[in-house]
Amino acid sequence: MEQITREVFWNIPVGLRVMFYISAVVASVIFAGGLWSRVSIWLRGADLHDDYVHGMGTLALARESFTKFFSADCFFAKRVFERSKSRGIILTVTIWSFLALFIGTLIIAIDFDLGLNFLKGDIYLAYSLILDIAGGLLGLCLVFYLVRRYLIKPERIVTFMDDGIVLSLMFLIVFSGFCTEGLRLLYFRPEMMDWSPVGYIFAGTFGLLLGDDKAAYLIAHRLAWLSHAGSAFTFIAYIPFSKQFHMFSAQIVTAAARARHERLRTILHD
Amino acid sequence: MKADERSFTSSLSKLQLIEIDSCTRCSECLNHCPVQDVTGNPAISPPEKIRMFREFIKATDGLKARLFGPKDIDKKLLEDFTKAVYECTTCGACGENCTVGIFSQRLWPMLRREMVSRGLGPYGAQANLPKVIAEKGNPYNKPAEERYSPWFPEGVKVSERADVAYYAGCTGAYDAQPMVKGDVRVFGAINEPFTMLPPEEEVCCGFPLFVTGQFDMLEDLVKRLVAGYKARGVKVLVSSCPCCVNIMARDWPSLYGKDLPFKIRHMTQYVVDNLNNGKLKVKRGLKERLIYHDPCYLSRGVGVIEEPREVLRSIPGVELLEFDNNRLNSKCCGAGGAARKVFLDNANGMARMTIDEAVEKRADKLILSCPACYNTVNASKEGHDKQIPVVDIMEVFADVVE
Repeated sequence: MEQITREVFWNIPVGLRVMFYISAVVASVIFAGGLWSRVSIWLRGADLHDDYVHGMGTLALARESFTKFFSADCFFAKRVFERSKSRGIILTVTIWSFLALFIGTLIIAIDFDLGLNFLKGDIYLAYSLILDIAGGLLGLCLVFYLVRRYLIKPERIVTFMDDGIVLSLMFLIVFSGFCTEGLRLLYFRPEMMDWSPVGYIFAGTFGLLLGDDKAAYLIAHRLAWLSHAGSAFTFIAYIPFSKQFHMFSAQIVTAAARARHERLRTILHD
Repeated sequence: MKADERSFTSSLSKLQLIEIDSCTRCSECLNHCPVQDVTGNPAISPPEKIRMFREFIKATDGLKARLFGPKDIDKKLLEDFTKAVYECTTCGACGENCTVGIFSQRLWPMLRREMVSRGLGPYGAQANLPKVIAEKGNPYNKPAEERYSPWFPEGVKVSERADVAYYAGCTGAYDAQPMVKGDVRVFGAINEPFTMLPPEEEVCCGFPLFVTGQFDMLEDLVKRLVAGYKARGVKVLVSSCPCCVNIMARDWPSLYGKDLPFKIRHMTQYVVDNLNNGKLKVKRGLKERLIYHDPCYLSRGVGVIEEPREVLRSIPGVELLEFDNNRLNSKCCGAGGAARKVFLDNANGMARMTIDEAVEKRADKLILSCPACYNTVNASKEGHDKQIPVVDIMEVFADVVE
């Protein structure tokens, strides 16, 4: 039986692969510049004695941001849950699925770029299934956000271009990712393709649209891959300049709010 | 306006700059904003103010600004922002309900401070506050000799020195006199020595200056007041004004430069202490349905939430009602943030919503525990179709303990 895995950069010519790595470096440099810019702005603020972040420099803030990411307030969106159960669930699923996809991308990068080649057989199937479900759930969450922002809006909501850019980019990443996967599955029709349930649906849809034209699959796959890579790198570069930067800052504020509520019990009650 | 060399970050703390970066515009806060209730204008909403200020910071401190120089900011935009930040009552309901937890009750005064430093704030008559306070010691432009005399109850003795001191506060003393009179009557009923500063020494606590972003005189006022109480051997300073108590507990230590030589207590806490130790006895009952409104700077500000309720529950016969939004989620009555004198229609609108709910719940009296609330809600009754007696908690309590 053929070993179950997938070829990274399948159907991608060397020129585009080089462009991929150049784009990755450019996006990372812009991201790092933006991150530095924003954190250095934080450090310009007065270091108040009774502030939660008193005495914290760059490293301490980074540690705080990382560790508090796993707090109940953040990892289980507790503050949102307290206000709206449905939005709490949606945000929790968003965080978990985003994290799963991020880790999944890191794993495949390590596997491929370091030549470890461990993503095969059952490990690959499990990896594929988890990421497929994560991508599907993230896609559903993004649809919810888009509908709430632009279609069935709450009575009071403030929306700006940045909201649209962030949501559109994220949606494009997910959608183009599934298009890429679906077209690859359609081309190869591997035995265990139903371990990628969402990709399987996309493959079926493309099969209906494109018929048996394998050359069309290849062109469409390359276009989808380009959209996926392009939107992903644009998103990475855009994060520090957008509201999505809250993924690094909000957990610190949430932890500070928790500490402030504790202090409220003692400020006049000692 | 050409963005000057000075950064827009200069008035904010490190945590506040992180907060500015954390708003996701989820708009949960808008459901709780009392200014939104009466204006319905999202341009003065919390997420919009944060977004605009983030843009200002980007213009002077962002990556592009650092690489290519600061960007021009339209003067009209800065003026609109200033108006928005002063139209807020700083009640902090947005922060309490913020899904991230931004401490907005503290953030808004700091944004105001930044606009003051740029010559754009404060707003309207608020600009006179420093001059009036410097001259008269209070923001109401009233003489010091009228601070206590019009309302101070007969027969209550004030000691020269005592462990406990009472700070009446400017709004109570000049603008909500039944409230401070009630406080002193309760002090009389407790019958323990207490002291007060002479009227010319009991100057403004600094809160109106703080909340309007005018910080220049604060340190001087605080040092004068602390020195006065220290000289009288005070160990506990009691006030019934939530704004005074808030700045005393939260900001006086840093303005004074070290820990205060005395503790701060709200009047209701002091009463509960004395009910518990038996020095204060409730002598009469009251067959009334009372609805208590939590002042923003008392509940969200310093966490004094249950004590006022304990005071009211200690009165036999009282049926205590609650507003739909109560305790940490209380709705501003319109008096907050020094906005009531400048945006009168907003303040009236919010105050009347408070009255309407109290009437709807068939309360006999609307009970407040804040002189600014007392003044604003009472003033809004004029010409309003719904009416209810609006009284201070100590006004009611003094009647049953004397």
